[in-house]
Amino acid sequence: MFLNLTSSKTNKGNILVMTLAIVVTFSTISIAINDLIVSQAKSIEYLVAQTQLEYVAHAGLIEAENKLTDDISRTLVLNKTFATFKKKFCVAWTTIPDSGELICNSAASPNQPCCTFTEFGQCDKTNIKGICESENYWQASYLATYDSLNKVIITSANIEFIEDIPDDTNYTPFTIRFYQNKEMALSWE
Amino acid sequence: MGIKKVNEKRATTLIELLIAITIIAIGIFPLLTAFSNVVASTIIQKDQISAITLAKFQMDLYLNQFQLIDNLAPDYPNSFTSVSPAPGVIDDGEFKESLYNESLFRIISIFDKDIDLSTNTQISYKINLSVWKIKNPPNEDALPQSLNLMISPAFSKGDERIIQLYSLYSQKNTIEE
Repeated sequence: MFLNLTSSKTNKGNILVMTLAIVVTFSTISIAINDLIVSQAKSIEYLVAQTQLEYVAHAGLIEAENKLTDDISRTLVLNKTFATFKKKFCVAWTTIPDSGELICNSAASPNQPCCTFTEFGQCDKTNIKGICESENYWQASYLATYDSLNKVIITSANIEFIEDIPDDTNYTPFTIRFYQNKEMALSWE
Repeated sequence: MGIKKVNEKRATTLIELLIAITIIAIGIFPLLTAFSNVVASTIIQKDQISAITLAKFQMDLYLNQFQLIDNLAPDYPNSFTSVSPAPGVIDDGEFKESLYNESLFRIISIFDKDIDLSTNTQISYKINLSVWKIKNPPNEDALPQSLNLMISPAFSKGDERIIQLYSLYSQKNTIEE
């Protein structure tokens, strides 16, 4: 009798401990998976930004080359914000009466809220000609200079994430910036 | 007496099991949500990688092409749009979306003449290239009858711009002043 009672208590304890262990394990795996998703999304966003930066740096070389074509003797320093890349993008839609097909509404009312790309949700921003973009964006600029000694154009381009409206109230400044330098020898001299 | 005790013990174990199953069910819910997020996120990321590949391919094609504007818009308008023939777009001269990595994409490029850089001898355009994921391809009736690089089929609900690239293209101005 005494032995049976002891065994029963032990079983209860085992089940409770095992249950809690399983729950803790599941929770840990869930947190790990969510962290993985976030880190992968960031990595791809950075990859996109670096790809955009590559072509902005190229644009710096082209502009500098064109400016130098006019006057090779000048001291060239170009500092230009070349492009901004909005993070989100959505469009207001309108229905064609005959077919019922949805098309982009380029004449949407400015008061019409932006639609998202899911069929169920809506964001609450107003559109610009049917186009809605987030206030947060990547901004790319370049500094192009001419090295007259070596007859080389040098471009230093950078892209920076500008977070005007943080997504959450616990806002902490988020600064991320990438750089890329390119050089091009003048072939037309 | 002995049989009663055995029954009591079984009843207690059953309740414990039910409680344990309930706790595990509550505990497993976040895990299922996380797996669901993984699937959705993986699809989005796959499309992003595909879009980056297509965008780089197309932009490199533009920037490395000799006298590109002469081929696209020989009269050098201030602005024009091109639906680019990315891999898989052209098939028997009819317009088709790019099927790439199991998703449909459309590449739209807007060319704006850079007035400050363009001269009598040189002409420059700023290229704004966008890769769109096409969720619902338009009906065949709504498609251009022949491949026209200047005409883009309408977008529909669910279509999404995945990536955007900007660059500058410059070539010799072949229009005599």
